Amino acid sequence: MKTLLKWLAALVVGVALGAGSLWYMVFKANPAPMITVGIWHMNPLAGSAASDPYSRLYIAITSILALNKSETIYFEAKTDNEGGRLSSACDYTLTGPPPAARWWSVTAYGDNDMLIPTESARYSASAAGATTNADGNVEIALTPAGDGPNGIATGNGNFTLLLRLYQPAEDVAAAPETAPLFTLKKGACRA
Amino acid sequence: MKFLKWLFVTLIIAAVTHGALLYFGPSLIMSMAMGRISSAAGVNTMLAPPRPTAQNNTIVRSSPDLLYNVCVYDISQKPLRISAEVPPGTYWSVSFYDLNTNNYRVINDGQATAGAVLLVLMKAGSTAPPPAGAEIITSPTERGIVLFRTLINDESRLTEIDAARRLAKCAPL
Repeated sequence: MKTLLKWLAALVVGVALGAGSLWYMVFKANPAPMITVGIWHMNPLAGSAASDPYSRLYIAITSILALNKSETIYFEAKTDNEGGRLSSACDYTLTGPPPAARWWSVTAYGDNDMLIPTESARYSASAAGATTNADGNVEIALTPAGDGPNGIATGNGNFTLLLRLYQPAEDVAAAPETAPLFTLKKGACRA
Repeated sequence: MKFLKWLFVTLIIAAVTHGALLYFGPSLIMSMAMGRISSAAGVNTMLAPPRPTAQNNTIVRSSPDLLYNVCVYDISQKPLRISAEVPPGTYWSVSFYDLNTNNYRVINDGQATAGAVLLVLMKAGSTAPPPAGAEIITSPTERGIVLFRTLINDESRLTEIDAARRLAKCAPL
């Protein structure tokens, strides 16, 4: 009985250790060669068959059925410029020139990586409907209800932004780290 | 000494768990996604779900700007015949994913210049004769997903784009 309990304890601790260390490697140690542009991060191996196993597992968990970077580049943002988690407790504005691609969109997802349920259903801003300012820049408001120019609703909780560049310009596909992307400005926060 | 023995056993179990989840995780996640999709449409048939919303999306990070068509395939018995019209004037692509989530092939509207595609998906070594004019695509695994993306680049064209993307079909050859 005592030996059985020892085996059971070893099994429980071993599985927890194995799963925990994997979670750390996939989400914290981040062995994937991520490219960072301001608040945006991209995995250049997304959708490719050559992905390393940690990167492939990360993509399978967070972005299953992604396209490879010659077809679409995905930039993700979870934090603001100071490293704080993006949260609907604060308003934000994205500003910048329209990304160099055949098509682009910015979409907000909740903590479960699903579209955020709000009354306005303003899930995204894109090349189709986004208005451009006189200076050529696009301004995108991120607020709980999706108010403001080209507004996206952030709901109630933490959220993640996904910037998609469909068929990016050749120079962007070749060197995504040089792509001029939207910059984030933090606005008012609520208690 | 006994403590070292149990420590060693625990570390071995941890290493096996880590490796097994790392190695089989993507195919497990893919199988779960395939199961969710095929429960609605079956295998080797095309599903044309409505535009993604917060109320209906089942796949993480679906784009609300795209219309998806999806075919969960199993070509262990027969190759798969895939046909589709390419909606004019917008981004369109068909992408192929194996059981390990790898995107092994993409064809977009710029490449499908004839305005339509006829494809046959086969496993390696298959000798089944393809129909005339069909492009052969070899899948690394017997199971996987074919995913069509059609961009809603103009809300006023939604009905037209939706009708065109619903012409996509997949069926055993």
